[in-house]
Amino acid sequence: MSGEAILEVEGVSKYFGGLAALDDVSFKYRGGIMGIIGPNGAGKTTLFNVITGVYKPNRGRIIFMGRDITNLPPHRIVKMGIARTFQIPRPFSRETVLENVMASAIYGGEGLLGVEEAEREAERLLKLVGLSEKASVRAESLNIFERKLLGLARALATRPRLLLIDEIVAGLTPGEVDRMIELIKAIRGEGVEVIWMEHVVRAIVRAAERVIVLHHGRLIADGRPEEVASNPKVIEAYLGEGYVA
Amino acid sequence: MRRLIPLLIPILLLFLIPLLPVELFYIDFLLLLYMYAINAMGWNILAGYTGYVSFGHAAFFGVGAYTTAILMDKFGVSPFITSILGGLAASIFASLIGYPTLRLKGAYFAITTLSFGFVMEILFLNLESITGGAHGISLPLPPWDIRTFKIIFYYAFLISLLLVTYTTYKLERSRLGLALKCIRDNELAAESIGIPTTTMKMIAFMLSALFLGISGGLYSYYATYIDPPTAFSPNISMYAIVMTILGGGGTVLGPIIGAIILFTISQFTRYTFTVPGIDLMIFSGVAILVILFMPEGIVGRLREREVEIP
Amino acid sequence: MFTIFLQSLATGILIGGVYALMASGLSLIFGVMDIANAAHASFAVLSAYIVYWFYVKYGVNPILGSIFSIVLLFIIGVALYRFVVSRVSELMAFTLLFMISMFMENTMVFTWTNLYRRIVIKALSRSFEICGVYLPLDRLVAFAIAIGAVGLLAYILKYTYFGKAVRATMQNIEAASLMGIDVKRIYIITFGLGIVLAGIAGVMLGIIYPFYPAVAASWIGLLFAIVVFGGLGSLTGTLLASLILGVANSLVSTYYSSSWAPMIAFLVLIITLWIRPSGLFGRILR
Repeated sequence: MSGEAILEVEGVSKYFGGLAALDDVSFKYRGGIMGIIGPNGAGKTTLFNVITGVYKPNRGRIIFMGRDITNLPPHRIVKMGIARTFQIPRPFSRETVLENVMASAIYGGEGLLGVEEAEREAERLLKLVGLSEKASVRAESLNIFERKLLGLARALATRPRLLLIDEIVAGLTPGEVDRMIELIKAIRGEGVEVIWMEHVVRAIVRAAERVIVLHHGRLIADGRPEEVASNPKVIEAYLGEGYVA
Repeated sequence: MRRLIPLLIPILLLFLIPLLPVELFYIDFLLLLYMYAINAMGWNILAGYTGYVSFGHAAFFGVGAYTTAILMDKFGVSPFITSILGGLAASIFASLIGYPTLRLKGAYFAITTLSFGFVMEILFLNLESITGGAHGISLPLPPWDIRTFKIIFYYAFLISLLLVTYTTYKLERSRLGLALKCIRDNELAAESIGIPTTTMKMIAFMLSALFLGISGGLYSYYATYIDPPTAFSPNISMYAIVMTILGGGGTVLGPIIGAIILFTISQFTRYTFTVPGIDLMIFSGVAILVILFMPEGIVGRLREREVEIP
Repeated sequence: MFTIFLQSLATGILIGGVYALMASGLSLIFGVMDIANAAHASFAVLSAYIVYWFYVKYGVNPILGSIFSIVLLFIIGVALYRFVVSRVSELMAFTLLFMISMFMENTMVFTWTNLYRRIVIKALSRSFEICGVYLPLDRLVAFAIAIGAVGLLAYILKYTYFGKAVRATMQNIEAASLMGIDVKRIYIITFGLGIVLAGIAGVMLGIIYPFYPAVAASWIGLLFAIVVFGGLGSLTGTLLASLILGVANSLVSTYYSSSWAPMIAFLVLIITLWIRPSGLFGRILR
């Protein structure tokens, strides 16, 4: 982990009506695989939406590589180097798998990429995630695991500095979960920083170097996976008060 | 490009037709067919490729028609240039209403555009000093004889249709086209991979308007008369919609195929039945069936059967 | 001078009430199922034709005719949703319903021609006068029935199990189904109910105004304007917006020109969607 903060979340709050989806969340991220866990409704997806510009926070700032990105529109944030996957994959259903990744390669960077270069990059990424055989198939015919792989390839095609992964192992078989974890480590090996938000805690614990925990929109724990897993506040959040020893 | 070569022969034939001693009725028929095809292609850019289904495209047609009429009538601008100006006027109009309107999704976009179609008609009916109101604008007949006149417009519409088709063909294969299709399939995801959706939608909207503006601009001179119910007729919108749906949205030839089939049927019913509205009854019935059972349209269905068709 | 204003106001309010009834059905369908029923006004016109035809051709009492029409429309509405509309996405539903309305309109032209019709009930042909303002009895009765029906709808929504289920579904589909509500059935019944409301309103309008198949096209813009301006899923909003637009239409027709009046509804619709899509009382658009 380098010393410079890649991403800083400063006092971010987001309200929907009277409900606080995020309540004064702050942390500094310096790199490496960081996990974000928390029970359902804890505000995890909202946090991603705020970071990527889908929502504007009611309070607080998001600083990426030293620049304030709080009020930028999503497509600008992508070009600056933050990519994401979606909890429920959102492929471009009528386009082919290759076209899905090509579109990303063309538009995801600062300038516009040429079609041939984008095609080469797309082929490379499909190989990385293991979808090469399905390149000319329409995205809508992929199964859930393949869609998630496509989501990763598409996000990577934007040449991000930071990849936000949103609950990617939900609904996968144990074998698929293993493949996914290996893939995420490989992505990290390519030099892409990863913040991985997950509901399935076991997967995170295996891969992450640092874990933060959200509950009711608030940050309640921050540390190494083993520390966080045995933190009574975290246990209480997941299981309810009666279960704390 | 090689795929287009088989089309060169029919196109050449189309160019030759007016030189043969065919009856004017057929020249008229084809000319109007080209016009409806252009309208459908224009609608297809926004709806078929970008996924924004407009119900008021007649607004752009009418803007083009009136631009031609007013420029010719009041300022004596020479013809055909007026249609291009009409197209530009329609595009500019689109750019004015596009930003707030394209933010709306799905059905809301549809009812807003539907409203625009009606608003324009009422507006032009009431602004009598500029538009002549319900009396419309009459354009001077040119010094040519009827046959030459119609043949000139035949070529004008045919060339416009070919240009519009070529533009759509190139668009489909371009990076812009890919972006539009991504917007259609999942706009939020498109944003998330860096596509500037607002800009792209605007471009599609203005291009779509351009096609219909040119079409309208040519039409008003061809008819030598234009009034609001004709220029902003809901039929213009309706025909474009159903022709594209039948032929296949998001394809190059779909709107043309839909236009050929449906325009032929509409002309047939016009001369066979005395009751008005049979054509619309058939059109809407066809649309209902296509939406329910063949939403990908004719070209879409052919593509599923592995037929290579643009 | 003031009398003219009052007359205009009164006319607007009376007609606004009937629009409220028609729009409430549309608002219900829109609010519960996110479907913009483009064929709503066509069903209203259909209802008017059914009652008219039975009345004029067979001498059937309009009240009986209306009951028959309502039952028929409910069946059609339920069947239409269950077998046709539910098969497509929400955007395609609008297009589909639009095409259905076109089909209905032109079939009505074919069957009943474009002649202007009106359900003329002699007993209602009188008019009352208060302070120089004329209040035709047929409009008063139509207003009363319309407001009564809207009130009944409000009561159903607030106090009956069905109504609460509808409101729950409107707010959160997942929560509603977790509570044991059969969301699909709610959708089907709501659609039928919405069409029925249009049908009742259609008969009212058929008594007050001359109608013809294409009149649906002029009503639908106004209806969407009311629903959007009032706010989706809000009965209060629909009522308020109906009265406001009814009065606005009336005032513009009286003081300015009746040829500009139809534009008001469309402008209200466009501007509301541009600036404040949730309207007066609606929830934020999803």
